[in-house]
Amino acid sequence: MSAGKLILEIVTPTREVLRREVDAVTLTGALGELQALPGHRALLTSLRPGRLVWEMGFLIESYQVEGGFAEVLPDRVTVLADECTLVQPVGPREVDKR
Amino acid sequence: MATLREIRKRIASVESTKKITRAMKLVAGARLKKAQDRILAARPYADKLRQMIHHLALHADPADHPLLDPRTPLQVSLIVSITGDRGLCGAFNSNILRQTTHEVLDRRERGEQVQLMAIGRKGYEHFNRLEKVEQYFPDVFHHLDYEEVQQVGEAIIQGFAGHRFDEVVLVYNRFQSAISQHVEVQRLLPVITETESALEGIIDIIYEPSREELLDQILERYIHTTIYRALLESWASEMGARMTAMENATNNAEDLIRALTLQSNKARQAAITKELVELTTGVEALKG
Repeated sequence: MSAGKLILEIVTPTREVLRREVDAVTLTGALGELQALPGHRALLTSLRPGRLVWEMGFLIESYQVEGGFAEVLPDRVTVLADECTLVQPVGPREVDKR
Repeated sequence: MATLREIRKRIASVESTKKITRAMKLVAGARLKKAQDRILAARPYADKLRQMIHHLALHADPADHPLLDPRTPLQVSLIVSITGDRGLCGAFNSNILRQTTHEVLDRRERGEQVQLMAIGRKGYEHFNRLEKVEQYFPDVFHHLDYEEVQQVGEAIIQGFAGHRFDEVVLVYNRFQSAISQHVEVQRLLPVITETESALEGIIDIIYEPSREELLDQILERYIHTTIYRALLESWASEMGARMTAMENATNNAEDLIRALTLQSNKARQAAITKELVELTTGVEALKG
């Protein structure tokens, strides 16, 4: 585990979607959008249908998640999605986005 | 001794049986590969989900949630018997039927009541003659997907919540390899949680929306996933069992063909010899 990074894992009942190191993850939680950074407090939330965006340096990628759960720990984020589709593949972040 | 014609007819019939068993073996082999991939693909989700439940249940009293709470005394058990829809797969189905019967009798001996749920036609046909099958899900394996499986889970959760039964046990074949699968008896409800977990030290966890609601949703998901996984295991086992059974059948057919060919050659030779003997006897007789 390298310091200052999160390990993001996304799995659905039928496949493993992603497992990689990231700087930050933005999720659509039950109570609204939340961003997990390294060192986040332990959190368990259900997910509403919505965006999941991870960032790593200048890279960014976004998914559409159809409900599920997320577990945020200081060094990792585990997303159990009912369904998960890629919206925008890995690419450089655009200045005006987000 | 059978006539040459009869033997040839039998050879032809065994040949065509062999063709069928060979084809079935190949089909089962191809499906087995796919089924194995699906088990592997479903594994991470199931593992993570179980982890989450343990984390959640860590600071919870089992009495917090009806699906976690062991009921005493246990009065009615639901036994879910997972078989295949079709035969020709060796001991695959009969092992399940035997184990299910065992579980049923065991509980009756203890004075408990038993309800049966059948997934797969073979189990239904078997038990429907002897017992009452409370619920039957046909054609699940026809298009086995996660959405489809949820209706089984819903039925189980509803029955459990409505106190129609106090315990749910799955009986299914767990896939080990193409040639071996073993019968697994797994308790589905109430959910058993482990007390140890990586989160042991962390007491301070934020739950959104609330722990009760989360537990509720996650447990439901867990039931679905567990059933889905059991069905995948069973499907892969069935394909493995069928492949092995059909492999054996093909080999047996080959042995039989070899034996019959030998017999037919002998019969042919015997006929020729007989004709020759008759011919020479005739010639000798004319000479004399």
